[in-house]
Amino acid sequence: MNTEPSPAYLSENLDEEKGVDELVESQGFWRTTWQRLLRHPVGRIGLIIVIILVIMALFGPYLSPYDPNTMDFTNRFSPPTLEHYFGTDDFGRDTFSRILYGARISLMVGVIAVGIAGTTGTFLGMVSGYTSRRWLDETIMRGMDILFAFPAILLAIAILAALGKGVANAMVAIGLVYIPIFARIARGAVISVRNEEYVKAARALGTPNHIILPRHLLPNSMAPLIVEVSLSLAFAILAEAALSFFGLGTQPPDPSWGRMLSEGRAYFQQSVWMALFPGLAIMFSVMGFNFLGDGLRDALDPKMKQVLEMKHR
Amino acid sequence: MSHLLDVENLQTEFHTAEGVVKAVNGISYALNEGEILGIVGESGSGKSVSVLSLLQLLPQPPAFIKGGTARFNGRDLLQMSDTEIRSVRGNEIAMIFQDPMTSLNPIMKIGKQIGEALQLHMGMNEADARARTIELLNHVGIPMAEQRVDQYPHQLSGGMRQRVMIALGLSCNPRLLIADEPTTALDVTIQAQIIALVRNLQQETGMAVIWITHDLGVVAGLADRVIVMYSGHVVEYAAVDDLFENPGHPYTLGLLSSLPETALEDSGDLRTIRGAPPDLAKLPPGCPFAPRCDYVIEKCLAQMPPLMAVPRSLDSDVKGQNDAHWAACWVNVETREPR
Repeated sequence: MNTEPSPAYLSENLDEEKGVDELVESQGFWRTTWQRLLRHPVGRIGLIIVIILVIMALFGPYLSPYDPNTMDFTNRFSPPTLEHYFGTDDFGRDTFSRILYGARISLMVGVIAVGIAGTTGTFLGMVSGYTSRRWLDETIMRGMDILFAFPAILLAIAILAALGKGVANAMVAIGLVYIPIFARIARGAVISVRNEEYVKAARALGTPNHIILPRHLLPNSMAPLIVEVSLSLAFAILAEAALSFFGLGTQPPDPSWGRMLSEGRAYFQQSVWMALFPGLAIMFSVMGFNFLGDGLRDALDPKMKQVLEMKHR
Repeated sequence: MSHLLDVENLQTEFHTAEGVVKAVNGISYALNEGEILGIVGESGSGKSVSVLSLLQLLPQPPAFIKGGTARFNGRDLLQMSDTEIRSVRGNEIAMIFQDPMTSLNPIMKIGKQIGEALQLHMGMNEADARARTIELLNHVGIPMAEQRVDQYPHQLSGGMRQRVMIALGLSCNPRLLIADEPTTALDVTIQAQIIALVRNLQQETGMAVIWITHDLGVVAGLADRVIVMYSGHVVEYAAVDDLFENPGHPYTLGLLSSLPETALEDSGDLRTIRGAPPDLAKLPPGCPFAPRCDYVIEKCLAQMPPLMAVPRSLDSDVKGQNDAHWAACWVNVETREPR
């Protein structure tokens, strides 16, 4: 085939299609989404909180004024002061330092648990949504229904009872509990994308399923999954706190917000800060991820996008 | 001479909750190398389903290919395994679709999408595929292909996108290109360009083309032969000139007299075909067009007519039957006499 286009059919087309010569600057989908998120008021707050959390988790050891596990019996139950911003606990440990270290554990549990749930659930849901074999779809989704039928925390506690307590098992338990949510969302998204013309076109060009799934279906089903990742992180942090509160998650002496809350509960009437600050930390991080999820949902939703553009015009 | 594609008695049904919908009811046609075949019919006449059946692109269930053969180069497409048919798709038979707005993956650069097919079927590496993609884009008349290759579909106009689709279809030098209403979603001037482009490419590469449309005007300008479909039947099969000069089926006649350009010229009167197409789940025993037909005789209601050679027009210099012109009608539409 020669590269020179025949003038007969090339020359006639250019005047008709206006603006063809101005090459629009390539702006990817994700960059647009990012800009929309930054303009979303609630999403922006969520993003800031999440960034603070990530900084706390990454740089906690450099930021904390004290070792989180060093006890100081001369300084038990110190109220918030300039030396101990958030006070000290019943062993004289610095609550502020423990909250900084706790952020690391909370975020790690969240990321790994959501990682387990997200990858497994998305894979199962996509297979279920794309397959033409009814029995496969039914088997996967009824399995998910069984998992989904249990209350989340209760199921996590049951799994921990079977696996044994500890922070690693807590991640697995929280991850397992959240698989059905991702499976359902991925299945729904894939079903809505699978009949799109471009998937049909890819099939008509002989593209095999193991390429269609990751290249065409997954990227186009990503929006609801990303939102769910953010919302699930909030849940996972809450779940880790709850499990640690019951003594099933993070084990002493490692600092965990849930366990600090549980320990502080006993002294609530005399030293309210012991429970208050871990409680606030949990609340803010859950709120942050929820806000971020809301912001992402609006930024990724094409109909909502237009509304946002109108507002900011 | 053997045909490139030989479809015989293809029957496709959809098994739905409302019953069995007979979308394609035993159609047969043959296609030579390098030939352009137009398939014309209204929505729901089975045009698209018949070609999607060939490539096994219909979801099964609910679709179900009840019978028939489709020999492509001597091999029956309908009997192929998943792997076999996949190596035919895109490689030997390529298909382009109606709506260029939705036929490209919106979040993949167009170069990537074409390159994917090249890497898949031709075993090219990424750099070669990219070079070939730019060559193809140039070839289908996309200016500044070197930059366009890194653009997303939304940055291109409808006509440009259809050109990309055509480049995608041509990427692996198919022997047959199936175009499913590729110009329906485009405005008229762009339509003409795309038709000219496909005709040029066809002459250059010698591939065969099946062009599905509901626009008789497009067929007139492009096709060598035409199939007219109604309710899943081929009702007329003719060389394009024969079809327009001497339509052999009342439905074709109705279509022609409802074309604004020709009808207004001839009689100043734009006619429509009364009634609506039948429900494909409850087809009557006879000819499906009978309830809407002006030429209907008793036999029509009882028995579906087979495709029969059409007598030459009374005005024609040559007398007798035309062996390349077939219509499924019990009546000679010119003389209004049963045949």
